[in-house]
Amino acid sequence: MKENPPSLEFDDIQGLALRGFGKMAHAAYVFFQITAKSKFQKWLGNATTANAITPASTRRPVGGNRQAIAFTAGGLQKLICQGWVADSFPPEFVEGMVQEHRSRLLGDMLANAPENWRWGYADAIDGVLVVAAEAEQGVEQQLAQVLAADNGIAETFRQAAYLPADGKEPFGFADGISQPVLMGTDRAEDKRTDNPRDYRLNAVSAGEFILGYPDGTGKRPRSPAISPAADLAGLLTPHAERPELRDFGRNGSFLVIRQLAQDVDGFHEFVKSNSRETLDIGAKMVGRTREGASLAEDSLARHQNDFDYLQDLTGRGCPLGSHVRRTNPRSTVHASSYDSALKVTNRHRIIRRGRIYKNADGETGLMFLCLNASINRQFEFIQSTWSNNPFFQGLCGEVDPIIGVSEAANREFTMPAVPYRHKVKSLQAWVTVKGGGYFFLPGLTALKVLGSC
Amino acid sequence: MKQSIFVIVLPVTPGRQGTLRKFLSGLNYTGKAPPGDPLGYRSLEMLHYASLFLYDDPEDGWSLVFESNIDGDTADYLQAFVNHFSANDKSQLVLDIFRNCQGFEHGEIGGLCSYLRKHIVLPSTKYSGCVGRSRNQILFEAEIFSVASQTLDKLPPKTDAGAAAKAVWQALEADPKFRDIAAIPQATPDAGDLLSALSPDDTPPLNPGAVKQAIASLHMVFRALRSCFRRSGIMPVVKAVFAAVVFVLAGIWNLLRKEPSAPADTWRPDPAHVRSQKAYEDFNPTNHMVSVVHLHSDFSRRAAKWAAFTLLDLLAEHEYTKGLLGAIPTIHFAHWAVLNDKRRLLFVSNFDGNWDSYLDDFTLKAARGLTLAWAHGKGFPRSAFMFSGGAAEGPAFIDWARRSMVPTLVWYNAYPHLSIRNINRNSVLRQIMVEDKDHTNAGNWLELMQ
Repeated sequence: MKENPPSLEFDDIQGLALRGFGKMAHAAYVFFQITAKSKFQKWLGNATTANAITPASTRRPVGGNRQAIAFTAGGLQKLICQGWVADSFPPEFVEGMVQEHRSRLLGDMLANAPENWRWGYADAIDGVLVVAAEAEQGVEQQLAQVLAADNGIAETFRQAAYLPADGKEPFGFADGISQPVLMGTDRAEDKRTDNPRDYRLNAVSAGEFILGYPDGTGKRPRSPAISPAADLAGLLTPHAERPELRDFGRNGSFLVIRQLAQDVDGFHEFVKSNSRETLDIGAKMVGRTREGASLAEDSLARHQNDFDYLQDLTGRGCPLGSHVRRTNPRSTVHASSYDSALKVTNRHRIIRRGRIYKNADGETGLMFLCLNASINRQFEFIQSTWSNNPFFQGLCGEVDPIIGVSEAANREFTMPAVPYRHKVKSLQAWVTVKGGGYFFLPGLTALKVLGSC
Repeated sequence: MKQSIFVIVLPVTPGRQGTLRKFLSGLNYTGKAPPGDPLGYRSLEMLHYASLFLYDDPEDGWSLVFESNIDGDTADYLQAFVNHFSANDKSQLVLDIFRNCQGFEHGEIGGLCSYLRKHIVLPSTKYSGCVGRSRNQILFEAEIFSVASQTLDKLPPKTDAGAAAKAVWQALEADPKFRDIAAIPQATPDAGDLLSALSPDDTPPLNPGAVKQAIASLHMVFRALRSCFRRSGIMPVVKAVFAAVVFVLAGIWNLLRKEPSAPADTWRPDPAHVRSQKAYEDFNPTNHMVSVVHLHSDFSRRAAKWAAFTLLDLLAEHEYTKGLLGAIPTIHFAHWAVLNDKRRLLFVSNFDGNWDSYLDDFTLKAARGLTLAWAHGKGFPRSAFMFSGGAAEGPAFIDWARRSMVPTLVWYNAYPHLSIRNINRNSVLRQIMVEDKDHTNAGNWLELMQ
């Protein structure tokens, strides 16, 4: 008998990790440096006790606004000081997104090179504050209030973003459809009864995203530790692997943010000049129609996320190299069975929390946010082993047509077809990275510790 | 074509390791510099992959290791290797390397071949993802693919299969280079076998529990034994059966007396050390990994290791011949070898993708086999009967593997633009094309043209 997964401590997990704040159409991401530690800690301590940082348990918090806060390794180190245990944090988090080898893996080269970024390169960010509200004005008011307080932070960059009413990202495709659902939650249980197939494909162990719970292998993922010196009030539990330390990671999650500018005109132009009457190159490159239906034929699918590629192994419907197929190949990674393939794939899922942005100068794109228990095993794996891999699933020389960048790539895109494949060439880089960073989204108890250490 | 996989392990003259390291790195075969080829490897037609690296043994000092994955026999290759340097006026270059090694300090090019031969270490277990095909065959088949692909690119829309096939054949026939396209070397694996390994296969789930898995493994061993008997007669079968008996007896003894008390390392790899390794990774979509670990070398564990490798090698030779090692579809050449009087275990691999995804495959798809290969390594995550635990301990195993890595100083890949799946696909394509000279089933092979 399989043991039931332990129930999630919704009160202690930040809302952003488990909820999309879907009713809050507007949001802002404020990146900051901590300039006066004790003032900031006082503010953070008050914010956590006053429930100003939204927990996952609150569906409709007072005032309507939602807030989340996350820190870079630099920020945490500043706050934790002597309690900092560097080797308990994953190296990719400690090093940050900008590092020579990592840039090769992520495709942060050429036009995406970090030197060209707007934020996240030389600005030594300590953290990010996420504010969401129903109206743009609500976001601004909330931010004005936070930033007017004498709270020891200096804003380094701010980006407003929103959830489009039609749910479409700037290229015109329905976005945010493929999301994992956390095993053990009510939503997962509903799925299990309503649509077992959806459950099988998308229900993923909570520990793949939230630290402190079993992951896809049945074990708890590694969790960052701090020394008891930084937790004098004894709020944290002992660390599982190193009982002499405290478990700082519990109910936390790693947050990846990337600002991705989209060249909408360029994309449409290319699609228009390469499409034919019966062939929409845009949909082929994405792997879904603009409304979000998968291009993979699947007679068993009932909606947009309970499909598989097993009736489309050759990729004649949904090309092997299309964006959605690369970023979540479902049961088609190489394994000894389709079940184990799915198990392998689901070790590399992410929860996405992206929103669209549109600046006054016309630049538009995606504020990509994702949550995972291991940046290296999840976000970076998807980016490097699937999106940017010129050898993905037997392909040769091409990368993800939407987000892929690789110096070894040939800028082609292959669409399997009968009697033989169709290929488009001279793809452009329609998506450009404008900033990025790795953050840790602590649990609320851990935030209290940060506010008092 | 028969392939050979081996290393040559040469003791470095004490004090010369620094010079050697600097010299080898200076050849710019790794890292960001555009790949030149000062050693002229590209003209060695037998050579698929090669590397040179140094490692330090606390008891025996520094060794220079020279890895080769080649066509044909080891001796022929070494002769060709030495001839290549003397014929191309590069004798000094190769002497500058090997004169740093003990016993060859004043050596001349004429004596190099016999010196190298004396230090050959054959693998304990070896794997090739492109069994049976020579380097030239791989390059030839890649060219067929590329000509066919370029032809398809030029066809007007809505060309039917017959006409497309005809155009491809015309393009191939126009070039005398492809005259021998139908002369497929005998050792080429069958298209059907390769094809079955190229796409996922619906067999029972991966983790059916230890007992069922053990039964499945035994079945695989029996199949391999049968194939071994058919090909090589009774002696290797007797050896394998003996190894199986040793494996069980030593395995039980180790399970009770050794494995429970073997300390497992828990510390994280040093981040700066990892960075220094990653600085040379992922400049190509194919990567190289060298690992040297210390073995527990008491009698019972040594015996179990010998038995495990004998059985693994049997499987690798008779079962894993279609471009898949278990369910791992990304390995060109890999092998394990025991060095330094059986106290050290070397692992060398040439694989597609990045290191993290490779190790991820190790723990998720092939943990049992890898535990068999690495169990009784010092500090290895705790194993039971060399079968469970070990490599299945995800992060702990990955950390252990990373800590054991040795930097590659020279790395050569004869076909950096080809993944192992591309190579196998190209072999299938050629076979099906040749069988379909009259274009009646052109759809079958046109479908492979991605």
